[in-house]
Amino acid sequence: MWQYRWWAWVLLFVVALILQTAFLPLVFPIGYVPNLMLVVVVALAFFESPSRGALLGAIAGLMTDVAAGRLIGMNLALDAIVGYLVARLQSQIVRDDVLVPGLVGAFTAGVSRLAEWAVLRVLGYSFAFRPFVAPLPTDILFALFMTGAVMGLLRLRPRHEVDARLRF
Amino acid sequence: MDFLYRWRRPILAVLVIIVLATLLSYTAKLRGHVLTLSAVAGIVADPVGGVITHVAGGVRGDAQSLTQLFRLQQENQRLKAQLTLYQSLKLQLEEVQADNTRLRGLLYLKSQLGSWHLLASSVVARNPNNWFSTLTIGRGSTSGVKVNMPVIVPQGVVGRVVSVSPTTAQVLLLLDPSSGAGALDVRSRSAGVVVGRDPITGTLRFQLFSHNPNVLPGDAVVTSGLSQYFPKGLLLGQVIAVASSAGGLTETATVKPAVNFNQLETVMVVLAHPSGESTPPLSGLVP
Repeated sequence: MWQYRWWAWVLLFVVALILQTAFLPLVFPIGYVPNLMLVVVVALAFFESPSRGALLGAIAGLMTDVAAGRLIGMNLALDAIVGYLVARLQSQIVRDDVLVPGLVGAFTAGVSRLAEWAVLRVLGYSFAFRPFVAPLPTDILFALFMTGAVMGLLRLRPRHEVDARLRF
Repeated sequence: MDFLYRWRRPILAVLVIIVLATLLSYTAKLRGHVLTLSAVAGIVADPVGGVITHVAGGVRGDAQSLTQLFRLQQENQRLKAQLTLYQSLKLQLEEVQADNTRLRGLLYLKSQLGSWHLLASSVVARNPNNWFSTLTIGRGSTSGVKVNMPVIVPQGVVGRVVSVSPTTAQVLLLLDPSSGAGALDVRSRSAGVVVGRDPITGTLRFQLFSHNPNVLPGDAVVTSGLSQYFPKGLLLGQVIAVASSAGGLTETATVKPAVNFNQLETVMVVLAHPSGESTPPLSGLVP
């Protein structure tokens, strides 16, 4: 199944990155562009083990950092942690295909932005807190609807379901 | 009786003829009475006739209306289709008009700055990270773009080139916290540095050098030419607020950028410009 291959992740992240940098800025005003890469990381990590979740998060984060051109390692670390935690969480909760992924995605988007603010602060970028959290509702709503949508659109399936289908 | 029965038909005919002749000769003289009689008969007959005429007229009218209805329905469908076509044409026209205005502005800028060497380029992407205000343009080193070249639009300064590939270049916007431009208040001639704050507030911080700079809200702020990146006189924005620093030693103004960074589609890279005083695109450049 393609969704478990690293090259498929890279391909998917390239598409997401293009949409993130070229399409979403046409829809959302500057500063309010939601993080599609993070949504894709959450959607994929829902079907992975924690170590593979961290790996796919790290790949997505590295690609974002390279495209951003500054502070290489910031998104790598944040997305890897997100991938790890989501993959760890998914094995311990009962979930459906839409609501729970949406809620996890929304929560992740919110926490990730706050963590980003803290990291930037530590690294010397003193952004005021209020403008920094102003796009939070946009981020959360986007992730709430898009995480399930991405999972449905890509027809992502748990590994045991794929294995069962292959056996038959 | 047998005689009457045998000749009943001729007798009846003769009687009818006699009665008719009598009636005719009588009524020939009494015309007014007959007319009254006929008017009395009309009282009964006319409403019935009227109703019948009305109903018949109605039926004929309904039939005509029904035919008209079908015709109108067809016409309505045709007009709706035409309306949809015109609406889409209107949208296309608006799009073309917007493009035309934008490109006219760029053309005018180019003609105003005749001795400047400008290169038009389209914006192809933005930074994936919201907090770093950079954008990618579709011209690179093969088109002559180099690092630190200023990027402008008719409304004012956009930023400067920070990295170049053969086909693309990264432009650091004025909004970015790590950007900076030497600036001058046009009215008071107070100098300082304009730096970005964050993309959410969308304003710039104008750190003034002098102790009592006399900068007021509404003042235009242009590039001073003192920084190595931007030539003198390019519009940066307008002062919207002035505040003193904590110790009261310096003043900082908040500047609203002249450029709407959300609507950047085509920008101009300044490949070369004459040294010294420039022709500043202060405002209202779009003809």
